[in-house]
Amino acid sequence: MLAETIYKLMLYGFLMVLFAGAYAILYAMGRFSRLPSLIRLSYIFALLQFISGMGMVFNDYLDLLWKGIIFFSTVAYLFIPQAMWRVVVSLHRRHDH
Amino acid sequence: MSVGWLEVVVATLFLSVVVSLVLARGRHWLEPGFWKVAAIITSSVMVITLILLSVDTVRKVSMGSKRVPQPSVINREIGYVYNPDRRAMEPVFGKEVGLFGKVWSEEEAERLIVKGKLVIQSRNCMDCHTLLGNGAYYAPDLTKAWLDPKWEKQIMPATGAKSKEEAMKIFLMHPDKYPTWFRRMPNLTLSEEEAVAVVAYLKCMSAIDTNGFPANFPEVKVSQIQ
Amino acid sequence: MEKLYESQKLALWYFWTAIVLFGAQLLFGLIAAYQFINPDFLYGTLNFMTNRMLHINAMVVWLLMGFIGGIYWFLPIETDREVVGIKLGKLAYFAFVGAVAIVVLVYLFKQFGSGDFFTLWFITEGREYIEAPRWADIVIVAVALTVAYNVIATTIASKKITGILGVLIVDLAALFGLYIAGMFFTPNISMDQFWWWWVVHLWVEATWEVLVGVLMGWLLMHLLGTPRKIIEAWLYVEVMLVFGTGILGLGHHYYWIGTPEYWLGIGGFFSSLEPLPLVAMVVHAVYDAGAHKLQTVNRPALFWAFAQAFGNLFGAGVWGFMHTLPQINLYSHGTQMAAAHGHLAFFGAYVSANLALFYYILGKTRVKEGYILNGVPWKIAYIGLIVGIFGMTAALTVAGFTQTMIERATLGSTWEAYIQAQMHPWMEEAFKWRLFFGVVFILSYLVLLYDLITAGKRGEQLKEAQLAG
Repeated sequence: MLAETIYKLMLYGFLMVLFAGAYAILYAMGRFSRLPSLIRLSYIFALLQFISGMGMVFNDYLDLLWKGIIFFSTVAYLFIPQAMWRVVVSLHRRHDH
Repeated sequence: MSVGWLEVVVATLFLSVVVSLVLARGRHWLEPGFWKVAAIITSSVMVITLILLSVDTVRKVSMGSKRVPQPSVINREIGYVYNPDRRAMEPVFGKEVGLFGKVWSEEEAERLIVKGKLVIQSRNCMDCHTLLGNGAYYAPDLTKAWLDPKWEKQIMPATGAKSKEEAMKIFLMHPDKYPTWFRRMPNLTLSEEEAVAVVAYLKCMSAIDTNGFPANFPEVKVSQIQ
Repeated sequence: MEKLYESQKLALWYFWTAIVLFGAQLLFGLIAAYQFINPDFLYGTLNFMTNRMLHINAMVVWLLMGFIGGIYWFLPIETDREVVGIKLGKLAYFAFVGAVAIVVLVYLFKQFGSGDFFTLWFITEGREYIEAPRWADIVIVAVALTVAYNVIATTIASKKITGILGVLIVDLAALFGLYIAGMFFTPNISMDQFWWWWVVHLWVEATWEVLVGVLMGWLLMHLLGTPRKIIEAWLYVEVMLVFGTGILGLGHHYYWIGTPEYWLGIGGFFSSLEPLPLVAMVVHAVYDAGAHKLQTVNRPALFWAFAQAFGNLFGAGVWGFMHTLPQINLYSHGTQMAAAHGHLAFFGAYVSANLALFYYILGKTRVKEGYILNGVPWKIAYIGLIVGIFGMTAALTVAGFTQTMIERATLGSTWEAYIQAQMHPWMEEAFKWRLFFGVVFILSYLVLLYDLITAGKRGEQLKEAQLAG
């Protein structure tokens, strides 16, 4: 049913970015405080983010192209926190007196 | 020149990255100067692309284009049907039937449309309703108001009007007298001339090709013209 | 405490005016929210359309005034001199406030006019967010030009242009220039809305974001001692990401207004990428929070700065992404979904930034060097406002889902479909909860107001700063 399809797509989209944000925040907190448990927790959110993204990708309402764009985003979100952490640390190391 | 949207997207991203990297070579990537180049190049590529697309879009939404008809469209039957090739609903145009019992010349129709828009802005319709989906959400969307079944079903009998446009006109002049549910439209002291102009405006707006918005609307077919 | 530059005194005037207008925004928002529940309230006297107009216009003006205040505060510090043409700047302030006052009085007491150009010039233009009559538009442009003149002339007089100032000047030129794109009349509604979005979107999803980046950059530099090079590098990264995704992301407003179909692709693509930079930027915010162990001489300023980073991500990123794909937006366009997104996004991105700035400035003017601005009331307001806005947003999200699924996807988007969806129990409950959280929000605002007026002056024991290094 159309209403259900639309509602699911909205919900998965919402959860995807929400979990991506939670992943980024917890990962950064874990790296900063050097708490491996927090980093591990963040990976759970990374996985949840990926699953939510897949929820959109496997929805037949979207064309192949849009599935591709979402898939790209969902993979990118997996690596952004680590990449950004390295950038931020390098930036501060270079410029902090 | 037909360029697909995907090509535009890929080209802008590619240009932004490549030109930035070329112009920023020699700068360390952790230095502000590197990102200054990237910021300037990316912004410029995007702005130039936007301007080019806007020139094209402005042409395509000018009155008289395929997407936005001339004001004299108010003389014709207007419908809204699903096009399976586009996978979207689109306006369709039928025979000449006039509006308020007369066929309007191009200049008369244009004056009416200008007046209609002035009334819509002067009464702040957008702060309760949505037009083309933009505005406030206290009252219904007006994009296809001209085609709405409620005029024939409820408002014509309530006002005793002989035609849909008459019913619309009477309603607009005294909406407080014809509530359809517990949220009422206030009386905005529309004169008859203003109400006629707004009706014409709503008819004209319903003829715009909005890529299928609103979707799922009950189809309105029109008589075939040769 | 150091003596203030004249420009900084002007900043204070702007901030106080902004806070008062914030209160006005909330008052009219409250009335409008109540009218959803009881539509007969003030029907015919102060209709929903007038309250809504006052609610959104007050918001735009107070946020802008706060930003202008921030510029006037930091400009003399950045250029190490008094602002050039500050007398003109002060005059512009009075012109601005005067124009706003007259426009508000006309909105309240005249409300609308007849369908002619006189109404558009002197009463209302009737276009969402930019309802201000044309005469007021001209005053606003004059004020904007004065601010720009102050910035540029002072920069020139200081004989050097920092990276931050460079970004600010270019951004201000764009921001104020864009306003002009809305100053015209056309009978063609597709053309009208095409240019209208150049103003609205390129304001809140591009130039305003960069302006906040500049102001937050200055704030962090002075509050946390973050090195200038980091702020600058970060600012350029932000400009690249925000303009890179936001300029063509403008296309997500061009799906359904009569514009060509290629915007569905372009807009959908870029705006679905818009959250990626926001997720990235929040990593830096957490780093900053950790690096200073949340210790600072001004706790409310720091906390509101963090609220800004997270609020931006959730309000703009999460809620924005949810309804940005054209396949979804076809059904959610013009529903309470937009209101849900808008409320949280504005609060997260702009209200938080302004409150951070205002607390920072108050700390500088009320608290002696080496002492910490802290206390209890700001915490109550902080929690209350955040709970309030999330509550309202959640309620409006339920309303948005309901409208999308019932009015649009099921019942066919007609007038009757609209009514049916509005009368649905989920919808009615959602509006009640929105009102409840709106009350929570406005009560928290009153606590905020109390704190802003009295912080540092209550005779509270301000701790001496014992910061590392």
